[in-house]
Amino acid sequence: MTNASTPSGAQQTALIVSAHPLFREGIARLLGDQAQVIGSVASWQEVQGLGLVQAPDVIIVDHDSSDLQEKDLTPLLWPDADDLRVIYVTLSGDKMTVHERHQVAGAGEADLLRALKGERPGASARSTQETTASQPIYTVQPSQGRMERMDKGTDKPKYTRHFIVVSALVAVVAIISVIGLLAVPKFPQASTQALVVDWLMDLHLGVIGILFALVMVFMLYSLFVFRRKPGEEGDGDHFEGNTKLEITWTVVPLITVLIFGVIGAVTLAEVTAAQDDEMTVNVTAFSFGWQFDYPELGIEKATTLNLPVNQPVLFKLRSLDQDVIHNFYVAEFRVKQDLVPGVPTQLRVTPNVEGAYRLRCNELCGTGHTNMLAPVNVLNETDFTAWVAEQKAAVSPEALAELGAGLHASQGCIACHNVSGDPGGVGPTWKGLFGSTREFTDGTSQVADEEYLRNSILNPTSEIVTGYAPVMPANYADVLSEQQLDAIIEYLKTLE
Amino acid sequence: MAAGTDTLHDSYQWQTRTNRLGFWLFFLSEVFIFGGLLVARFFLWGGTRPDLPQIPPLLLTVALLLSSFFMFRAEMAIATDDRKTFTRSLLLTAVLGSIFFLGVMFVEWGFTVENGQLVLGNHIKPTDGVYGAVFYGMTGLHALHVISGVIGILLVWNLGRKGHFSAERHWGVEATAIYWHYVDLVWVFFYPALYLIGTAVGHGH
Amino acid sequence: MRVLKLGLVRGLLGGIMGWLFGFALVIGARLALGLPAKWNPNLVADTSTVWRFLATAFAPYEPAMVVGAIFFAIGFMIGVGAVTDWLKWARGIETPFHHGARIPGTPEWARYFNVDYSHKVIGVQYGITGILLLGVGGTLAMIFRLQLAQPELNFVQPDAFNTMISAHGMIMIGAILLGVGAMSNYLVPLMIGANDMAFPRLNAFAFWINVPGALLLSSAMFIGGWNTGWTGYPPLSSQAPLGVQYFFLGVFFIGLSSILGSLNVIVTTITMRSPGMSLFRMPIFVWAAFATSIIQLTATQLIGLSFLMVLMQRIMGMGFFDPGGPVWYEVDKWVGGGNPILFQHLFWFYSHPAVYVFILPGLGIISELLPVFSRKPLFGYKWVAMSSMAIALVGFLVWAHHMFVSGMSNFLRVPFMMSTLLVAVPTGVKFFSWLGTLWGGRIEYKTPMLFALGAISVFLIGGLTGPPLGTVATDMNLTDTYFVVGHFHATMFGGFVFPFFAALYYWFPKATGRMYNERLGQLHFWLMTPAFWVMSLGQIFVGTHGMRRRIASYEFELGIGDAQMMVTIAGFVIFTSVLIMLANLFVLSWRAQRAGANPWRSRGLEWQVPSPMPEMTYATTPIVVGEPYDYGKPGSTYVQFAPAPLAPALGAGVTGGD
Repeated sequence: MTNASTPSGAQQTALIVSAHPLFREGIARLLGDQAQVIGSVASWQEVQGLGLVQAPDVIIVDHDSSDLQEKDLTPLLWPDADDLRVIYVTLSGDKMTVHERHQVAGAGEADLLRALKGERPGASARSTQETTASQPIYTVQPSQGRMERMDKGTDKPKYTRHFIVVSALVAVVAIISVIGLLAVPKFPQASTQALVVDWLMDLHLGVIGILFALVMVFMLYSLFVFRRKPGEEGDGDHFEGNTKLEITWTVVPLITVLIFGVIGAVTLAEVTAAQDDEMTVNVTAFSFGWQFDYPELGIEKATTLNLPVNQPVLFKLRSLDQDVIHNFYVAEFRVKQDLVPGVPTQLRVTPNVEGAYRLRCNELCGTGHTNMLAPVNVLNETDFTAWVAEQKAAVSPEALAELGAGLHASQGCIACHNVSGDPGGVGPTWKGLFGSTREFTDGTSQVADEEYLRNSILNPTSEIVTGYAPVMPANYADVLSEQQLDAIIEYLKTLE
Repeated sequence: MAAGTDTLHDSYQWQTRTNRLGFWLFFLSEVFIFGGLLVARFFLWGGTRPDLPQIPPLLLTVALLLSSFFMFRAEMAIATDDRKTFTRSLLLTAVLGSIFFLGVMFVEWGFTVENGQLVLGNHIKPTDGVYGAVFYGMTGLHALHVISGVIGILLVWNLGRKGHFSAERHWGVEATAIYWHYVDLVWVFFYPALYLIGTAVGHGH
Repeated sequence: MRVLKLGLVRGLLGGIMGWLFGFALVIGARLALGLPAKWNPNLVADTSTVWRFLATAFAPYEPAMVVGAIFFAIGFMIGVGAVTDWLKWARGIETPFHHGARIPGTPEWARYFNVDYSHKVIGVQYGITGILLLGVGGTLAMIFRLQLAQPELNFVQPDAFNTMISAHGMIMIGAILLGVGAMSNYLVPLMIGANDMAFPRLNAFAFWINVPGALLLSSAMFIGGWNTGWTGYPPLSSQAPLGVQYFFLGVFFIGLSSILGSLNVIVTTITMRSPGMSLFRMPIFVWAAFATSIIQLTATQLIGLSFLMVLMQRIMGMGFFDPGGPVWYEVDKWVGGGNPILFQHLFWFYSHPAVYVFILPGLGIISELLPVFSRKPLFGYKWVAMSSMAIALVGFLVWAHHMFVSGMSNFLRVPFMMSTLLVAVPTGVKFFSWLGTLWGGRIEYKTPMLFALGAISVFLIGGLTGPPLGTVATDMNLTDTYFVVGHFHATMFGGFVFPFFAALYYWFPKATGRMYNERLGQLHFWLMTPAFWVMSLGQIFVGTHGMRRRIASYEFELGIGDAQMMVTIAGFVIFTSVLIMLANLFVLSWRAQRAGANPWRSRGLEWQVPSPMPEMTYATTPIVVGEPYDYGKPGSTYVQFAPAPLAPALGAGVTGGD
């Protein structure tokens, strides 16, 4: 097959395609001797067949023939389809108006370059018509024999009004959202760390409000304005992307992220900074309770965390070696830290609001996790000093029982042993326990005296009462002081 | 073993290429489990390692490396239709591989009798803290792969004996060979990590 | 017996036999060595009720239980027939490949209970199993949300409660992995013009291994339960009841499925694309599935490893994570032996990238559907494709943000914070692309589109609650509170559940040839979406007001009872709405009107063939000649089903004579 790849010179061959004979005649006449008409057909099938045989240089298609509108030109990629041009025209009177121009190139960089530059392929199509303004030019990847649109959708001004409206809506919704988010009542603050954390959180809420507005407003606006109204045919606006926009909405978030990273690092340093004059409190967690030691004050195994206000505290945290991971968290302090067996950890808090709070274990640790709580009291100086003094004094026997009642809750006993008399708990009820006869799984039995009670707290798996499982934690020997052990036994004595 | 019945994807060559890609992806995946164990070793042992006898693992390493040589020989043999060398080399590979994992199980691990019971471990036990745990973890997972590799080699040997495989079609041999070299390569990393790197600490039993 | 013809039944029988074999093997070995059968002589069975018996009887035999479980899986896979062909190859027997029902004369529905090599059947198997697990996980949630609806309710025992939340978490994860598998396996070959995956037998194996995995995971609730949460941290998991072992093993097998299935997707995508389909002409979902598969292939090994290490710590005493264990040599950083924090590093190295496995396919579905229903191109297709890969890559670098307060080295916190915040950038690219796709469109509101839009709104909540968890100071307040619960439910629903439902509705007519009921679909959407918003905002709110996660009840004084009640009610509404969907798709649709080949007027390859699709989806090779999302451009063609003779003439992909 020969191909007329030079634009001028050899005469072009043309194939005319239309369902209307008049069109075919008219075009043929218009072309005159600018091109040799090698065929005049009515359907694409015939184009394919003829094309394989004749390989025309240009195919002139009737734009008004509805069944030729399916512009699937890949059948035209027959071998040697070099420099094939396809033009859609309408004919009215003597005027041929070109609506679309396509170029199919079989090989050669020159063709590709010409097509990319939007140059018209050759002389023949130029002379006898008026061209309409917007005609897509098709380029071809020669080695892959496919056709691809070249023009990217340019930002036409037709959305300006929409953008103005949307921007205004985004601004309004953003302001409302940010104000709303910042107005949500906060959990009480009680530490200097809380101020920093809440400040950063507010910053986050601000950005969240803005981004939420941006995305939701654009989305809802589009869903309303660009919906298909009943009876509307046709598709949406065809644009594939916008590189500038893509870069913008990659770089701007990137910068924002970096800024937040810096702020995050600074706030982290603030929240964890060592202070002068810190008081050390050793916190030991076990399943399922807490124990506080104040080494500088000589207080050991306290079960309530009392702290003086405005005093920086360094908590040294540890979980007993055979125990599990717990977590120290007072919600009003806004910071938390895991207590890990074998890995000592630290947490710094400066409580700055007096009040009664609660320490809650914040890492799932087993059966008693929900109720692994301890009271936290931030006291003024006088009250704190009084409490310290009190801790060091001896405790009266009557008060022991009261202490024991508190320990029942704070040391995790309450997770499994009720005092109501209900036998269905994880462990035996304490009501009526003291002095009763206990029957064990190995068949023996014993009266529950003080020695038995002491043993069953310190060595819980040595004798198991029938109907219960050997699941009681074995670390109370490390956890309870002698006084506390006495207190629990005194308490048990009062439960008849 | 076609992927479908369309002609594009039916040829032996296409299927073999695809199998090869799949196999290498599988090895990529396995890198992560062996890598995870290496991370555990360095996290838990730091710059230390357990003080263990050096000669036996050295000999076992030599045996494993030698086995890789014979595996390579077997693959080259089948590619040139030398069936005698093919079967012999495969068998040697299997023997050396077996020496390796048996050596690991009975020399490196070993068994002792304590309190009238048979207990795993003579130089070091699995219960010896992080040293025992990582040691048995790494050698154990690797030994599992060695055993499965030996089983694969024996299966291929058996098929080869019955006349399967040819110079043009021996994907099964190639796959087994790549697997075996991979197992060897893992040991090239594990051996120094377990026996050579770091200060020897602790005491042997 | 006809029921024995079903692979599932044979698999269960094989599994039970395997379990008995494994159990007996260990007991036998122990007895032969002169050891007692019971590994822990202190544990006695509690015979008060059947439940208590099941929960306590097996505990003394832990190693036998573990080996039994492994042989359960092996026996199941042999019984169901997933390894039959490979075992034949090992004996040198050729196995011809065929499509269609394996056993002549069995009805079409039986294929779904057997080992079938067709990717469409496997995709449906994944999907149905995933939906079943969603139901189980959802039911568990309904139960414990009842207790959490008001303060200080305690009708569920604490251990049972902990087991339920742990099971809910991992069963849901399993459901998501199955749903991801459903979408990848069903759609990837369709979308690239292939008639199946590269390794159909491996595909069937990868599906079926999920069944023993899910059974082991579910049975864990009954053999003692476990109280560790789905994260299984030691030392708690090394001390937990027996159920934790079956939890570990169940996850192991589900993870194996992930690895093998993703390998298949990667190879298929690389080697089986139609001629003309360059990488940037693939449907965007294939990019998403590809990025997802890279993560699944590699990271999953780490959860297998970390769980295996705890399993060995329990039965062999190998103290990786046990600081108080016997000491060989005292390392000065910590007392004693192991380090619990190592587990967290290994675990989260998988489990963070895993969440991108959960959401990338769903986000791909959103990108897939928006162009169809807006009738315009996907905005910035190349950027969206690259963003999936970027999220996958960056996702490997952020794991320790789950460990900010764990006691890991402090200097690690800032770099991980930076990398965590960085993920927002490619995620933002996706969001803005969706907006660009909607803008200027001609939007149609059918149920699939509604769910895609709902997904965007819900994923937005999830995504926006990420940065407060990413900056360390705020994370020190929010970690392990219900804020995190709100964050991940929103991202999971927005990234998986909503898009999965969208995909179900969208491809339902293609798969079945019937159209679902549009009104019911809309009802499902309008019930589920506002309810989910309420649930998210409620969880986020209570999390900032003292509500910890993984607790069985909370105090009156927190004042969050009303919010919690709303969260529970919302949960029930969501559950009900899903039942409506199931009724719509699986009950009512059987008498529904027939759907045509392309009810959505989509350009996708699979929509150019009839519905339901023939066994061999593409009788002739599709040739890709245009862009996938060129909606709105008249005459633009994506694919050509050229008659065979022309195929060699078209250069794309077929390099002329192999």
